[in-house]
Order: sequence, then structure tokens, then C-alpha cells
Amino acid sequence: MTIDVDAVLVASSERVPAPAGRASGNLLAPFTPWLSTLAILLLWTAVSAGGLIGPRALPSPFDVLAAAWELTANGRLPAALVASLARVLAGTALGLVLGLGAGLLAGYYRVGEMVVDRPLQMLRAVPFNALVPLFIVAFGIGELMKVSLIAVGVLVPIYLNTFAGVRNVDSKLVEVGLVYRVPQRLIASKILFLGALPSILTGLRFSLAIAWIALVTSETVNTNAGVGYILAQAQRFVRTDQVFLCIVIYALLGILTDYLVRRLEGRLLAWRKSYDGR
Amino acid sequence: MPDIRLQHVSKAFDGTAVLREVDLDIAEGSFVAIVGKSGSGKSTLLRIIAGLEKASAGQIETTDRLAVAFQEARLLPWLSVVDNVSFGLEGRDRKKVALDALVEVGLRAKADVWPLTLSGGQAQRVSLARALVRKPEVLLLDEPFGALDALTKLDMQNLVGELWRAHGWTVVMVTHDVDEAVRLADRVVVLGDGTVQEIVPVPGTGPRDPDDPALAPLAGRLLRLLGVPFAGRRSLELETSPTRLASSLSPVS
Ligand SMILES: Nc1ncnc2c1ncn2[C@@H]1O[C@H](COP(=O)(O)OP(=O)(O)OP(=O)(O)O)[C@@H](O)[C@H]1O
Ligand SMILES: [Mg+2]
Repeated sequence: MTIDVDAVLVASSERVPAPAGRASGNLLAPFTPWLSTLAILLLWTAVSAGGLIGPRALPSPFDVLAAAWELTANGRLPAALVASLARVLAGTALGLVLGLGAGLLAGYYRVGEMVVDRPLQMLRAVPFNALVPLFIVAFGIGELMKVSLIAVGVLVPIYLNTFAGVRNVDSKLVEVGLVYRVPQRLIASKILFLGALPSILTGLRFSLAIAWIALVTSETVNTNAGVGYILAQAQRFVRTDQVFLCIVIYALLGILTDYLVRRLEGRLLAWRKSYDGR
Repeated sequence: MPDIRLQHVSKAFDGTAVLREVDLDIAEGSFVAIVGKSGSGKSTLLRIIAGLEKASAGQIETTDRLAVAFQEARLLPWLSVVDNVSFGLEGRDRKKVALDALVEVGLRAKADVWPLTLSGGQAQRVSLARALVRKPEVLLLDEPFGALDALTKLDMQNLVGELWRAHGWTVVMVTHDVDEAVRLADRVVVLGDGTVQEIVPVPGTGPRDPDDPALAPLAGRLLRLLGVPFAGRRSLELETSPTRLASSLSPVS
């Protein structure tokens, strides 16, 4: 018996099986999406090693690694990560619950739409960092303001996509529930909610992307803990290596959350048979 | 006491009349087939009976306990096949009931797959199974066998015919296949110009033998009523699909 490497690789990818011959079989296949990133890293190394741009303006990847080591050794980076993650988790959780709730309310009920849709559409039109001064006045400059700012940023995309997702469910499927006199709660959960799930997960991805942006924005205001604090300090003392480190950390966290949502999509949307690109 | 009674039922969409003063009594336990050209309002009539569409005028008496198999399968793509069949059923044995129904339609092996992986005919059979497990008083079928091959079609016709006999349901079946109509129904309602043109009774009880010599003249008569020009040929369907057209134009081998 031979082991079908192709099958193993395809099965481990989170999407619906790719067309045969697509991930034509070598063990490097899972890494191919990273090749462009690797190229950028190499270019970065080459340019900084070339010495055209000084380390002040462009530290090499090794300088950044050294900075990471230094900040880890003295405990500042782990503490900052914990503080930032706690903020982002609290704000995201709050925003998701409120946004999902409002989206389902507006999606299920016309009355709900009338109550919540207009204000949230208006909120959507406001860039959330324009809210910073308002939030400082309302919530002070402490954690409450930061968490609220993240929550508001998260709330908008998840709301919009949940609402649109529910309203885009094929009315022919809802008719099935109606004609079989299925209980309302089943129509809500098994037809409308599950039907809206692809859209909700898209909203989740947008929301989480905004969560990190909102975190950075909120951490520029009077912070004494968090990745944003390290960034602000590094800027003040012109530690470009640390500035780069913070940027890299934000990028990695963003990729990580995106990866997690994709995994979630793979699990929850396994029923889909959609176009996968060619 | 008829199970379903339509009196002067009319339906217009945006001012265009689709049904005009339809009168129809469907007796409890009877099997009625509705035939008519594409766009003649068959599905609309069924939807009105099912309570999914409001008539523009007229009165409808119908029952609550009805199940519909729609013209398109309308499976929930995010539930497995067996969960689709048992959707909304109560009781602890709901899964078993659904699996039994899947055995009946020959799709037990597909119980755990996603509906989007089914072929058109398979999806249609799952949709039929979903309607059958409701144990309805009235079963409304909208072209339930349209996507099936000849052999599976006969099987499914037998299944519906036998379940109808066994349970005494009232069945209303829309079809464009006059042979199917005369095989199964007690009465065939010919719909045209938005109203009931004629009601043709079929002697005996379905499911009838497809070779029954009494059926051919009835089918021919239905085709003439529907205005099919070369109605001499048997087994010609109303909506001639390209392949059917080709085969009916090619010389008999
Ligand atoms: N919701 C709707 N809005 C507007 N027009 C409609 C609607 N539903 C049906 N119609 C029109 O009513 C007419 C009858 O449609 P119906 O679906 O009842 O036909 P049918 O006899 O079932 O045809 P087929 O055999 O092709 O399924 C068609 O002209 C259709 O365009
Ligand atoms: Mg129809």
C-alpha cells in the first residue's frame, strides 16, 4: 500500500478538497503561500546588509530578533503581550456579542431593524478613531475607554454581516419551515442563523482585523502597559529595532487570528461547494 | 366532505391573471393529478393550497396537516441529508424514521453526506422522503419525479402510489407527464388559460401497470386537451426538452 501524499495534504487544508492535481504533490505544498513573505524577508535582509540605509532607519531582521530577545529577557514583552491580549479579548468579546445580537435582532424582526439599523449605519460611517476624543470624555483614559473603543470597532462589521446574512437567506428555504409548521426557534436557528453563518464568519474576520487596529489606536492614548506602550517608548527613544518588532508582532497576531477564523470556517462551512479560484 | 375545496379562486401577479375562478373539490383520500403547460399556474395553485400564497379572490378550505415536496428540492445545504429529512420532526425516533424513509427512496447510503454533493435526482428523492415522513393528511407534490431517469421514476411512482394506498392520504400531484398522471391519479385536472379545462377520471386504482392498454387512450386524450399537435405518439411529454425533442424527431428504430 502506498500512502497518498496528495490526499494527506489536501485533507489537512481547511477548505473543501481542491480540484485534483491542484496541489500537485510535494511536501512543500503547505508552505507555498509563504514564499512571497519569505522573499520579502530576504529582500529586507539584503537591503539592510547592503548598508545603503543605516540601521537607524532600517534595522536588519537580526536586530529585530535581538530586540525581541532583550525585551523578553527583561520581562517587558511578555507583560506587554498579556496586557494587550487582555484588552483585545475583552473588547472583541463585548463587540461580538453586541454586534451579533443586534444583527440577529435586526435580521429576524422588522421592528428590530427599525430600532437598531439606522444608528448602527451612522456609526459605521464614522471612522472609529474619530471617536477617541469622545470616548476619553465619556470613559476617561483608562482601560474602560480602550476596551470600549475596540468593542465599537468590532461591533460594526459583525453587525452588518450578520444582518445582511440573515436577510440574504433564500426565502424558499424559509418556506420549507413554514409549510412544515416547524417551531419558530428552529426556523431562527437551523434556517436563518445557519444560513447566515458564512456571512457572519466573513464579518468576524473583518471584526478581528479591526480589533487589532483599534487596539493600536487605543494604546496610543496614555498607556503604561501593552505592545502600544513599548511602541510609544521605542519611538521616543528612537529604538527603530523595537518599533519594527512591535509592527511584526501586530502582523503576526493579525495572521494568527485570521488563521483561526479560517480554521473555524473550514469546520463550520464544510457543506459549502464554492468556487476556489483557479 | 372534501378535504380541499377551492371556490372561485383567482390569482394575479402585478395585474397579470394567472388563475381565474378556479373551482376544485378534492375528496379525502383521493389522488388528484394536475397537468398543464409550463407557466399555466400549476405551482401557484399548489402554493395557494399550501397556504404559501394568498389568493387574490375566492375561498379556500384546506387542512393544516399538509406536506409539500417543492418543484426544486429545497434542501438545507448546511444540514446532512438525514437531518434534512427529519427536520422539525418531534420524538426520539425521528432519526430512525428519517433513515427508514431514506431506505424507501433508495438513498440510505447518502444519509450523512451534504446535500450539495447529491445529483439532481437524488436531491429530489431526499425532498420526497422529507415530505413522506411528515405523515400528512394531504401531500402536495410539485413535479416530484421531474429529474429522475425512467427506471427510478417508476420506482418512486410505485412508492408514492403504495404509500397513498396504505395510509389513505390525499395526494395532489402536479406533473407535466400525462403518462405519470394516468398511472397514479384517480382524476386528472387539466389546467389551461388559468382555469380548470377539464377533469378526466381514471378508472381503477393506482399505481397502475405502465403497460395497461386502458391508459394509452387516456394519455392521448389528455395530450389533445393540452393542445399538443402530434398527440398520436405515446409517451410524449408536454415540455419537450431538447433531448426528448431530438429523440421524438428521430425515426423509430
Ligand atoms: N411570485 C411571483 N411573482 C410574479 N409572477 C409569478 C410569481 N409566481 C409565479 N408567477 C407567474 O405565474 C405564472 C404561473 O407560474 P407557475 O409557477 O404557477 O407555473 P407552472 O404551471 O408551475 O409552470 P412550470 O410547469 O414551468 O413549473 C408564470 O407566468 C409565472 O411567471
Ligand atoms: Mg411549476
